[in-house]
Amino acid sequence: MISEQMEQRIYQCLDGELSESEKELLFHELEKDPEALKVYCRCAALDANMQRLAHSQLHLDDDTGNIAVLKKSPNTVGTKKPKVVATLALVASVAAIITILGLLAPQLWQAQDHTPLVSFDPTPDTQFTLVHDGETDLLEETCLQAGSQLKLSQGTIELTFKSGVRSIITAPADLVLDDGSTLILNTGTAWFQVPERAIGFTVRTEGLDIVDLGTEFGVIAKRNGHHEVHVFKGEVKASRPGAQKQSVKLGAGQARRSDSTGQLAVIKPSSKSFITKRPTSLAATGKPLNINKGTQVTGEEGIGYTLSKNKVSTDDLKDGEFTINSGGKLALTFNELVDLKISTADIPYNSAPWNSNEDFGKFTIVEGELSEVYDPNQEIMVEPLSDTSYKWAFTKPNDDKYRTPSMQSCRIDLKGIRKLELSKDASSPGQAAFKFQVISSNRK
Amino acid sequence: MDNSSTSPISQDANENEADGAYVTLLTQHQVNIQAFITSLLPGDPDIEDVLQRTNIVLWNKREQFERNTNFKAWAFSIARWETKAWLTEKKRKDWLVFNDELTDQMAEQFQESIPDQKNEDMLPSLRRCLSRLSDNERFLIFNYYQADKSIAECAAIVKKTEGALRVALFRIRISLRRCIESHLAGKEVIS
Repeated sequence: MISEQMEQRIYQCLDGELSESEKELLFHELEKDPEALKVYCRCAALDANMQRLAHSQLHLDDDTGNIAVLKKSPNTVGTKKPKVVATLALVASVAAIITILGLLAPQLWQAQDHTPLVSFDPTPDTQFTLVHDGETDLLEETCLQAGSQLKLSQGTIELTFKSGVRSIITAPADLVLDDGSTLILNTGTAWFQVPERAIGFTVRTEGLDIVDLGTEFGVIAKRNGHHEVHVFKGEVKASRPGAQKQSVKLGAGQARRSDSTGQLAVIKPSSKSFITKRPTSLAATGKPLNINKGTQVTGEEGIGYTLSKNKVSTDDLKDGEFTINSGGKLALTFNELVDLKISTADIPYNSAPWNSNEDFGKFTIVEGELSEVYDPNQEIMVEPLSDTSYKWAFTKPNDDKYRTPSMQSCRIDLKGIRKLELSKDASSPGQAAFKFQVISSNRK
Repeated sequence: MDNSSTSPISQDANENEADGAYVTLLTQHQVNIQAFITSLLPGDPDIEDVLQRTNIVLWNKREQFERNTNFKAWAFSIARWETKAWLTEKKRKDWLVFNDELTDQMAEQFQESIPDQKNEDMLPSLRRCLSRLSDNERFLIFNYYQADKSIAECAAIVKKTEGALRVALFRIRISLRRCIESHLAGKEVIS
């Protein structure tokens, strides 16, 4: 039996809380004490299992950086003013407990497991038709069973597979669920994130069979017979079905197109062709969305955004992130004059390389002025078009695939503005992501 | 006609079958491999990256793996190598990872004291043991692991002092480990 003090040091070590010298001292002790080494290994195993359980089975939002925030929907964000953080924390707590209760009774869970093979979550105003193969006992309208066919004419959906696979599919699309591990994509643009436990997940198009080997990839199936696979992380095996069977393994940063000639052609990978996070609104609605009494956000052409409140102070919107598709436009309107900082943000789940001068557009301010462009590494170009309008462009390529936009240090400071309109040019491909922060308000 | 030659179709079928069996092994041992890498890189935020690299190498080398031999030992040797390669790339020196004697001992511990079938049983045991915790304790530990944040950062979010959170987490984890061991040993769980 080892001492509690030793076990405490082991956990501190696993939590990364020991200095290098303290770690070394601990490992010297473990080397001489087999019992302590055994406990160390078991604690590491517990740690790995807890990581797995917490990340794969609790469906709390994993990209907000706030452990108390649940997955948001446009109807709930920012609509409850008093004690909003406490409320969310309570809801998160209840959700966690409910989820855990499900996990805690495995036999009961298995006996009553009506979890659909796939559930899907459409953006507001998404138009789809769903046809099941034969009779269905699915209780929810937004679930797929083997043989279900989903046709998407407008909008975006997020698919969540029982196996843990996530997919974002943008319209127009036509897909059939073959079984829990195989999806047939007749047409459409789809991005997939496959956890380790679902390795072997397969996407079939008319011209390609793609078998995942634990990774993140995108598939485009066009009506003209062109089918593409783009790999962003890990590896996939892509093959052409039929008589002229060709097979190739593709790693991160590689892409292939299968065309009607039967060849697998090398193409440039394009992460920007895919949406990797379900947008919170459908762009084309053009309807203003009331985030709170002080701010309105409107979007056109596929804007996705997340907005958060400052936890400690006022009811006012304080910061947020948004992504803009090619040709997209977003407007932030404030009911008072504010100072804003605009900087780059990561496009979720995307760290694939991009090229220089691909991202550009325009921004316009109503009232106020552009006070400073902070750009120590020449990462952004801001060029005046008029007194109130500017052209923006990202100037640096991602020369290191691990470098993400959020690591860029450029920033645009705006002072005393009432409204910001920011657009991405229609000839600028893919998506761009920005963060904004209200740093002060100038009350009249 | 030479009947001993393998047709392209049956060769393909054999390859698919072998790949399928290999994927099963790879999937079954994911937690084990992750745990082993965690033990080599305690507290390191890049454990998942090393795991991913290890998986890719394991897949690339699948044809070198001899069926019916010890997959876990094979996977651990590759995980160890990939961890070293990753540290070398990052120009980091790590006393533990480059101490072959101790890492050998760790690999042995994982082979012996956490055998496959027991680690497979660990998740259900962990779930059962989690049920013995209070709601607050469960919320705390799930959020700690889910948030991937330091204790100091988590303490600020849950509005506890750093020391109080550290003690609470330690108590929870020590009771979980003991509960799992009792459970795996087939004894009555002591809460």
